[in-house]
Parts: sequence; C-alpha cells; structure tokens
Amino acid sequence: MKLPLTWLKEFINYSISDEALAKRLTDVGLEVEEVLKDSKGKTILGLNITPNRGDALSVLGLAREVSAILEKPIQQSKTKAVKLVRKTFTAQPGNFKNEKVFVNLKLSHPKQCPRYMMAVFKNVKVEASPEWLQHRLEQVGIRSINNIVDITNYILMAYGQPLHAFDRQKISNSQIIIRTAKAGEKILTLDAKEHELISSDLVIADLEKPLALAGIMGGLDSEITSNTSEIALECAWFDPSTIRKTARRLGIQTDSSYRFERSVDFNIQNAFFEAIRLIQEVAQADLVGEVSELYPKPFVQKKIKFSPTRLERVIGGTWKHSEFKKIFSNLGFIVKESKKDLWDVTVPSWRADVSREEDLFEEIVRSAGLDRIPATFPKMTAPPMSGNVHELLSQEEKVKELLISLEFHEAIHFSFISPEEVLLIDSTLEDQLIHVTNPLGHEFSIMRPTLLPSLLKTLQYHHRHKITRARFFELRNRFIKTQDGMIERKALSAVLSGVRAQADCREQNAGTDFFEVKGIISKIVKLAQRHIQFITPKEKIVFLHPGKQIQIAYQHEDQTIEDLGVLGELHPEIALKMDFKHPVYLFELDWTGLMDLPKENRSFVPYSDQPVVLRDLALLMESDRTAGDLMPLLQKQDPSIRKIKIFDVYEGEKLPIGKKSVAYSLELGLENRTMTEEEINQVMQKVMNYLRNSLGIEIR
Amino acid sequence: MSTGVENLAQLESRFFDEIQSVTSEDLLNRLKSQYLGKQGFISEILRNLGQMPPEERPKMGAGANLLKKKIEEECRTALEKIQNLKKEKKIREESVDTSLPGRGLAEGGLHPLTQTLQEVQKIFKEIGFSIFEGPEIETEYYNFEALNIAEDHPARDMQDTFYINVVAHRGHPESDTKQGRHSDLPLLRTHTSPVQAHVMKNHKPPIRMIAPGAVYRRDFDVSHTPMFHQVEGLVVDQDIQFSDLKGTLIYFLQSFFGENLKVRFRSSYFPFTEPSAEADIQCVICQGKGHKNDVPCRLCKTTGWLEVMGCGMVHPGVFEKAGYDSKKITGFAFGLGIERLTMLKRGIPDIRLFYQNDLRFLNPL
Repeated sequence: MKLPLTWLKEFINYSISDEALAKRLTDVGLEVEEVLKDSKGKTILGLNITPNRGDALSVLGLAREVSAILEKPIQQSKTKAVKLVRKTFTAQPGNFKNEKVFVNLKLSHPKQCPRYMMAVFKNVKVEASPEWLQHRLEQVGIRSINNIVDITNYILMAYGQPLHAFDRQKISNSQIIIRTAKAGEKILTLDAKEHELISSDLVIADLEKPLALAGIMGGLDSEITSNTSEIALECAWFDPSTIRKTARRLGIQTDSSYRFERSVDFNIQNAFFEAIRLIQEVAQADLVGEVSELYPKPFVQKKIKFSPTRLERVIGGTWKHSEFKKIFSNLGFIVKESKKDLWDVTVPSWRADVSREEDLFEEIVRSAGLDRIPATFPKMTAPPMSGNVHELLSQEEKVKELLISLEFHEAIHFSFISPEEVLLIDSTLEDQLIHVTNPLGHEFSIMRPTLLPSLLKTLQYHHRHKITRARFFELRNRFIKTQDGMIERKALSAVLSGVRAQADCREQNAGTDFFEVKGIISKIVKLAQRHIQFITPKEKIVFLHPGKQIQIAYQHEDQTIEDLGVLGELHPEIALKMDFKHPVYLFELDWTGLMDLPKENRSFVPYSDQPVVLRDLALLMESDRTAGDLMPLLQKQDPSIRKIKIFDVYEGEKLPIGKKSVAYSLELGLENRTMTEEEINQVMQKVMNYLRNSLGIEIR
Repeated sequence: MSTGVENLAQLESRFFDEIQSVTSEDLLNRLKSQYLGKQGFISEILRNLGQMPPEERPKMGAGANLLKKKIEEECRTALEKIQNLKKEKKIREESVDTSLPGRGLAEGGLHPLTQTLQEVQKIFKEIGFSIFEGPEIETEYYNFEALNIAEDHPARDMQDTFYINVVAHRGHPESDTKQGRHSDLPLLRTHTSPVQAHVMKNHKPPIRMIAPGAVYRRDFDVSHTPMFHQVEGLVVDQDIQFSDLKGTLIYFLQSFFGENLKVRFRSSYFPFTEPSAEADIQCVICQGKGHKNDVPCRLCKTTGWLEVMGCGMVHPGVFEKAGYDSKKITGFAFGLGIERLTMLKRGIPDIRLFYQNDLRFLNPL
C-alpha cells in the first residue's frame, strides 16, 4: 500500500517528520518498508499491510491510525448525504423497483452480497481526468484511464471502498441482478479474457448475461468508453470468502478483489456519497433520481467483553485501566464499563478483524508499544517433556561427527528433483514416485525416493571442477509411495571418490574402495549400538557394480530379513553416463530403519584368564568363493574356537588360475583350564576335515 | 726385547694407537681378544712370567695386570662410544621431513545450516524445551486449519503452497478419519507450526517444545529458496504471559548472537497468534547505527534493525482446535528461519549458496 503524505494531510493535520511518522506506523504493526519520493519530490510511504488489516488499505484507514497514534482528530468529509431509497428485506430476498430510477435491482443472494447500492447518472462527459486527479493516481501507481474510472479508483484509494461503473445503456431492460453464476456461463472481462464460471461465483448480471464478476472485475461489454453518456455506479459490500474463492480460482487479483477479500467497512455509504459528488463535479453528470440500496439485514457493530485484569494476566506488566479506555477511544472503539472488570467494547464498522477479547489485547499492546511489556521467564511447572526425537537427534549428531572425521562434508539438497535423475539410477522406482502437483519446474517435480541422485550430482559438479577427491553425505527424509500411502523416512547416504581417508601426500594411489565403505558402515552401526548383517543381494542392485555391491540387512527373530540399504561402487555404465572418470563409491542406509532396530545392551561380559592359543590356516579356494562367509561356519565346528580373523588374501602367479589363498587365524581357548596340545590338534583336525570333506577346500 | 717393563710400555702405546682406528663392535672385540684373549699379549706376558728373573717378576706381574685393566677400561669406553654413534646414526636415519603436512587433514564438515540448527536446539534444550519432529508432507488440516488459517482467508496468501498430487496418493498416513470433514489433502508443509498442532493433540499442558525442520514455499529468487528450514517454538501453561515470550526470545537471541545484542518487538500479524509480533535485532553490519563509515547500511536499509523472528500469544482458536480450554491456559509460539540466522551470523550474501553444496562455500564454514 502506497501512502502519499500530501494525500494523508487532507485527512489529518499533523506536524511530525516523515521519518518519525514512518517509525510510529511500523511500531503499531503497519510496517513501513520503504520511503519514496513522487515526481514532485513529495514523500510516499510504502507499507506492508498484513492480511488482517483490510481497513488500512486506504488513505482514510491509515489516517485513522495516525489519528490514534498522534491523538489528533480526523478531518471529516464535508460531503452531504444523498437521499437514499432503501428497501429492507425481512425474510425473503426479493427485488425492488423504483420508477424514478433507471435501473431495477434484484438481489437473490444476500449472504454473498449483504449490501448493494447503485446510483445512475445521465449527461456524463467521459474525458481525461483533471490534473489533480491524475497526479493522485500516479502517486499510488494507478494508470489514469478516464475521469469516471479514475474517480472509482480515487475513492478506492482514499476510502478503501471499491466501486464499479457500468455503461447504463449496455444493461438490458435496465435490470441489475446480483446472483451466483450458472455453471458454464461465460464472461469476457475488462482485460479481454474470457472466463468460464461455476455456481459459487457471484456475478452482477442483467436479464441476459453477467455484466461483471462481483467485486473482482467488470465485463468488457458494459465498460465506460468515450461514447458512454449514462452510467450506473455500484457500491457494495461483498462476502470476502466468496470473492476470494472466485479470484483465486480464476487467478485474478485486482485492487478491488484485494480489498473485498480483506473486508471493507460495512458503512459503505460515505465513500459512495463522495464518489457521487465527484462524478457530478468532475464529469458534470446529473444524478438521476435517488440512490437505490438493497440492504436486507443491516450489519450490527460487534460488542466484545473485555476484562482489564485478564489482559494483565495474559500480557504481563502493569497497566492503568484509564490507559485502555484512551487507546480504545482513539481507535474508534466505544467502551462501556458495565462491570468493573468486564467492559463492553463496541468495534468500529471498519475493523472486521477484531472479533474476540484477544484481538482487543492486541489493540492495546500495539498502541502502547511492546516496549511497555517487561521481559520475564516462564515458570517451569513440570519436568521437560521427552520429545519424540531426542534419542534420534543425538544419534544423528554422533554419526555426523563420525563421518566428518572420515573427511566427509555434509550436503543439503532440495527434497524435490526431476524423475529422470532418479530413473537414471534406478528405473524400478518409477511406480513409487510422489509427484508435486504444482512444482516450480520439471526439475523439482518429484519428492526424492533416494538421496543418491542429488549427492551424485554434487559429486559430478566437483569432478567437472577438477575436484575428484570429494566425499559427501546427507541425512534427511526420503519419500516413497507405497500401497499403504506415502512413507517418509530418514536415509543416511553418501558418495565418495579419490583417495581414502587418512591417506597422505605420499599415498596418492591409495584410492577409496569397497572395503573402506564397508568399514564405514560397520563403524556407523557400532556407534549406533545396533547389529546388522551384510548379505549378498538376491538380485543384483541395478545401479551398483555387479561385482562390488552388498546389501545391508537385519535378520529379525522370526528369521525375516529387513532391508536396510546398500553399498558398493557406482555401476560403470551410470558412471560413464554421468561423466565420472574415476570410480565412485556410495552407500544408502535406511536411518529410520536402523534406529528402529533393538539397541545393543552393553553390560558386563565375564572373561577367562586362561591363555589362548593362536593357530593359522591357509586355504586354497575358488576365486569367487566368499571367504568372509566361511568364518561363522568354521566357528561352529568347536566351542573352543573363540575368534576367527582373516589376515591375508593372495591371488596371483604363484597360484593356479581361478584360485585364491586366504589365511585365517583361529583363537582357541577353554573357560577354566589350558588346552592341551592334543586337544588343540583335535580341534584343528576337525576344522580341516570339515573344510576338505564338506566344502572341498584345500589346505595349503 | 730389552726389559719386560719396556715391553709393557710399548704394548700399551701400540694398543692405544690401534684402538683409535676401531669403528665397530666387531673390530673392537677382535682387538680386545688380541690383547686380553687367552692367546693374547697380556696372557702371554703372564704365562712367560716364570722365565723372568725372580726380582723382576712382581713388577712385571703388577705392570701386566695394570695394563690389562687399562685396556679393559679403554675397551669399555670405546664400546660405549661405538654404541652411541650407532644409536645416533639410527635416529638420524629415522628422521622425517617434518615440514610435510600431517595425515588425514583432508577437511570434512557439517553443513552450516546443521550447525545453526544444532546450536539453536542446544540453547532451547538448556532452558527446558523438548524437541519434536513432524512430517514434511502434511495435510491441509494440520498446515492451515488447525492453526486458525481458514480456507478462504487471505492469510493463506502469506505462504504459497506446494501440493502433492492427490489423485495418485489416497490414504495418506497422516490423515485422521476421526477428523471427519477435515481436509487431508497432502501438501508440503509451509512452516513447522503444524508440529505444534500434532503435539497439542497428543499431549496435555504444560508444553515447552521446539520443532526444527525443512519447510517449503513456492518462491525462488535471490532471497528465497523453495525449501528452507525453520524452528518453531511453543510454550503452553496456566499463566504464560507475553512478557515470558519476550524474556525467552531475548535470552535466545542474545545466546545466539551475543550477550549485549539489542532486541526489539514490533506488532505484526499471524493467524495463529494474537497479539502477534516480530522480533528484530540490531543490525549485525552497522551495529544498529544505520550507517557504517558514513555509508548507508544496505543490510538493514539504514533502519538499524533486522527482522529475525515471528511470535505471539497462541490464538485461542488454535487451542480450541486442539481441544484445550482457552479460558484456562495461555501460551506463546514463535518461529525463526535457520537460513536467515545463519546468513546474518556468518555473513552469507545469498540464500541459494546453501543448496549448491560447493566445497569452496562449505569448507571455510
């Protein structure tokens, strides 16, 4: 809202500086965002009016606020009231006809249009506006069109009351009907756009067709042109939500709809009389007969109970009750002290936003200034609540610290990406995508079902900038559509390329590999005090290198396997498509799933002081045998086998093609005594027999 | 050989000559056995003592033993010297170029938004606030209606909303059949305030909570990204006053930005609070003066103040939706933007930088 201060001064006489005025307005909740100068060097304030304050969208409305701030009276308009012909409806809405006027009014929807007034003029001279009027509109950024349209806009800006002028001769049968639209009905509006209407839209129509979208925009057919000689001028109070629904649906916002949506003063007549006076003066038009009005059920000013002690309890600080009275009266509220602590406060007609006691509290505090309120601290009357994510957040902080120590950077990406980015990695996700109805563009049109595409894109960006050693992780929600609805779960995902962690300048060839990533997952799981298994996926994971991938899983007590994620090297085909020239490793872990797993119970475990014996076993096996999977199998062979480690893996010229040598170290021991040499040999023999006979593995 | 004693003197000087050139333990042992070994010079002298004239024997014997001691002593010294040299050499060989960089210094780091989020959470947790999270895909009911934002109220324009394609997504998990006609139309939450509504639905007062998280609005320009982060706060109890809101937020802002920071409150409007206010802090660039070095401050547009938080007393309509008795309890709520706080504190000029994840941006932060 632009407020030219020269215009403001027509309503109120004050003497403080422009800057001081701007500050005072901001303090009472009418934020002055900018201070501008017009073409004549006069100050214009640019205000950001909050949506509750429809009353402040006019010079008069702001003058009222200035009047309250400075405690100076508003200068009353000198316009004389015009004689009204009013018909008040009782129960049934109906029409009313006055032979003296040129237009008959019929109102069929009093809820959508509780009040409607119309004045008819003849001998209208439509021409350019006088200079003062043009200048006023220029100051508030409205284009001058002709004197009639300009006067309606002038009144809108001055009083906040939108008006609409019809070419009277374009109204068929001189009949104005205020009704809802018929579904499918069409209207061509002033901006030369055609709109198809639905039954909740309110229109101003004649017998044949809609002439205007009520409160939003007039029709092109009945527009005021230089040929217009008779006009019908409308002044109405339209239901805010009806106007808003139509304006939003059709995507039209006008100065008029903007004000009706925010509610205008229900005392619309003063602005109307001023408009009538101006049309008579400026366009030298003759008012025909009397002004018609449909007002079946007059508005009643709201009365709210106000308790001064309740205000003190809700706001805090100390107050004089006389101060409340003064503030209310400055703002146009009428106070009746019916009981000592329960006042009746009558709300002025223009303050549609004030409807409860708390709204009155706001009037007091914004006028008195929030500086008046002391700063105190809320008393703790109960222990802190447990929150729903405390454990989760502390785990998140810990895992993030771990990854940072492993030289990762945390990345944060938008939750929406393009479907192609997902499908490039995993085309099987197509049916699980959640689409945004009104995205900012195709590239932001689906909610990510995986964090990997965004992370890969960030890595790709760095590779293109010659930074090939980079590691990123992200811990955020991902969104998946399932048959049961939409699932929102946190994932911890990472991408990495280049040398492994802790490598230094002498080890530039020590690139990251599958095993570094696997080790990272193990560290994460250990830190989280959970248990998981690494399992070979039943079906190959499509976006990972077929020979360098593994699934992260958890085996529940009922033997069901819960999928918790994957790790491996990005599939070379995808790497090629994404222009990666170095191997890229990644993992994605279902963080919510991991957190939902039972937490490891860390309590004392008794240990034996008996010495342990170490025995090594070098095995020759097929290269594609999973050597790690042998460990639990060997351990099962005898209870005296406490631990098994792999300490050497060799594949090369000294061995037959297709074979590898894997060396295992077995730790043997008994709880209560030292094992004898003979016992040790028996155990080792048992293990070797098992390897040879059951698995066909050769002992070197 | 003239006299035995002369012999001894010659032997001694020969030994001291020879030991000068000994550089290793091996050579030393060899020399030592040459003189002191069973077949060595000293043994030979002692063996031949019997063939000497009896009057010379004691003198010769004592001289030989003395020489033996001298040699032994000298060999010990020489051995020590050789060993020390060896140790020194080993240490010399082991030394490294200490100017080379340390291992594992490749940088990693938390995203600056996470750093701010963690800091904000820590400050509030210390004064008894609990942390709650809620879904990012919300329903229209929780995002708007439960917060007193009626469907056809212009307040909805304050937040341009992303909707989720509903035809494809029946049966959103958050939809609550008991709410009957309440809209379960899914959307991306436009603020973290719906978490308030969830918490109030599941807990009785007193409540003292914050809700951090990502939120979404249809805006993308120099000062807006379509996704950003907020922290919402809510305190509900029997005698919560506006003054408590002021005290709490001043405490928070001074903890976050610095002890002597000036804070002011201005009236404003939010549909879910009444009265509502904005909290401003003194400008971090011009220290609230409006000008720096006589140049008008661009950050605060010479006002000296920066808007950082929205807040207010919880609107009774919100309590009524939550099933609370708005005559018996009061509360305050506040919301802050994590991006804005981070930009102000760390001097970040453009909000979009947060989402580019460029290492040149992330590393120094």
